Amino acid sequence: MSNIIEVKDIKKVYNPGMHNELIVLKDVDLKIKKGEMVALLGPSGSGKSTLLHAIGCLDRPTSGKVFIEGEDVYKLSDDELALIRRRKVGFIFQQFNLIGVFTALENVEMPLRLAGFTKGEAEERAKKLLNLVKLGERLNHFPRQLSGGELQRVAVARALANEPLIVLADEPTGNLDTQTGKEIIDLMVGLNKKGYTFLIVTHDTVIAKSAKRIIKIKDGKILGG
Amino acid sequence: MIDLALKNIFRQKTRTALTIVGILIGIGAVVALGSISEGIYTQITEEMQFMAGTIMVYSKGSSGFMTGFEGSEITEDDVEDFEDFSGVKEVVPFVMRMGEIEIGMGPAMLLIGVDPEDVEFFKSRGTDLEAGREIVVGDTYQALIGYTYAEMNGLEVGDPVEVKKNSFEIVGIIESTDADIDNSIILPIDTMMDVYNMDNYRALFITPEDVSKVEILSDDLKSSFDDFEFITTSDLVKQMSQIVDMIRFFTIGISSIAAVVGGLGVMNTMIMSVLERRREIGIMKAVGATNRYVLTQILIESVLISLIGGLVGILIGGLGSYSLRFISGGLATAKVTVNLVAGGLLFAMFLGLVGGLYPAWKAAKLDPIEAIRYE
Repeated sequence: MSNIIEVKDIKKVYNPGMHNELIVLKDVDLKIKKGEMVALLGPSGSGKSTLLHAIGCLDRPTSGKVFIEGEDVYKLSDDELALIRRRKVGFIFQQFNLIGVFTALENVEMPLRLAGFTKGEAEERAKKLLNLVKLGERLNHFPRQLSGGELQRVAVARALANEPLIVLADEPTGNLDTQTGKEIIDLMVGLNKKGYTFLIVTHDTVIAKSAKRIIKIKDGKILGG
Repeated sequence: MIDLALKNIFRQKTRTALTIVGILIGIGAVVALGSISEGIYTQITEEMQFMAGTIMVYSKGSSGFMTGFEGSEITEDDVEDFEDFSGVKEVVPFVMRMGEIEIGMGPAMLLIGVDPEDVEFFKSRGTDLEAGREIVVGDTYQALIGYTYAEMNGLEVGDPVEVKKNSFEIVGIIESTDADIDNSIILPIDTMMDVYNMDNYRALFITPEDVSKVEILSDDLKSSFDDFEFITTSDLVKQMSQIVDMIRFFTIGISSIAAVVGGLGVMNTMIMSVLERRREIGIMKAVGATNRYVLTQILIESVLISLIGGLVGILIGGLGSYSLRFISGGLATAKVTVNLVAGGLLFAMFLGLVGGLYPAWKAAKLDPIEAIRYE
């Protein structure tokens, strides 16, 4: 199967040439195939989140290239990158990052509305997704009325909204207790079996073991696949 | 996007309400003052219709129409000179005074003395009666009163009205004209001159034999009589529009400053709003909102705020200026024109757009990663 993501030789340097220069990524290469579940394992400060952002079209690398389905994405404008995030990438964050004034349903509808679905279509699909993550009973709850595990389920549903090519999860269990964290990972494993591709950033070896493939990263360098 | 914008602007109800009030005051003032100057303009042009096709004459150095020709003196001999002038059909003298407090019966604006012989002249210029009869030759202490003056003071035909401690019998009420005449008392000219110790006329109307040559006659008169001002309707309208334009310029100008301050309020509110929602905007961008989408969203919100302010302002300003008519007892009228309403709305929209531009640009340029990290 072909690579849907290809990272070629990327480098990320903060404050280049200044006394506080910080090299976060050094010549990273990475390939992800469709249907894979990859764990990016590394200690904090290893550059794993930066790599995830670079793959997710959120953060331009200092040099190097990221190909998504063969397209050299950092040749594109900011707005074109936003369109790729909308259509091809789903994000799951450690801090959940739901919008507080929206209900669970509205949070999942949001990327759908951005993609041009009507209110009715977006609502229908969002309901389906929330049922899929077993939150069908909590549609009209606001984030403050939900537990951490429930919040992350809403975030998973939101990430799946536009049928993304890949779901990027940044420490998805970092704010959850062990049991709830395991449930979220199990949910993602289940979704992976249904065909969704995942890249999960974690510092937790136990969680990493749920993935089919583990990539270790340290000091901005990939240690081996 | 509009439903989301509405939701967003009413998240901070008090702040949004205050911002709306800021715009409302400015746009409301623009509409209120604008409609008042429109009203003045209409009133004046309607008043001018009264003397269409005639030439008004008063002596040089006197103060003119608006103050009742204070200082103007025209003698009986002058009247005869005008009557003999070629092209002149009729000379109608009158005296006029501005209303005085001593009348004590409410705001009569004008006291006008006319010759009962000239009743036809005035009648043919739209001063028909609502009730009673005209002043006729032989009347002395008889008076006509304007419609508004009668209504304000509850006067009817047969009631007495007091002018400078002399009692006059009301013989007729003039129908409503929307002009100053509505607030006038009209007396026989001889009695009025006695009461006010006037020896001479204050002004007169000259009608031409050929109405279409009124401007030519006016020019002829100007070159033959140096001591008098000759004014035709078109001269007056020109003069008055200059004054009204000035009033318009100042009132609308000043209230526009208020509106611009309101626009700054919108900018301030939107800057706050963008700061508070930084994280949320970052999230939206991360899940695929383009810079353009964010920019448009914030602009819609700020235009919405100022449009609501504009609409309410137009409503309150319009109603307020209409009610002025009742407060002032009919002295001032306001006219809310389509131009004013459209102008007010466009101005409000413009303020929203300009006020929203900077915060919208700030929001669009937010780096999603940084914004998401922001707590």
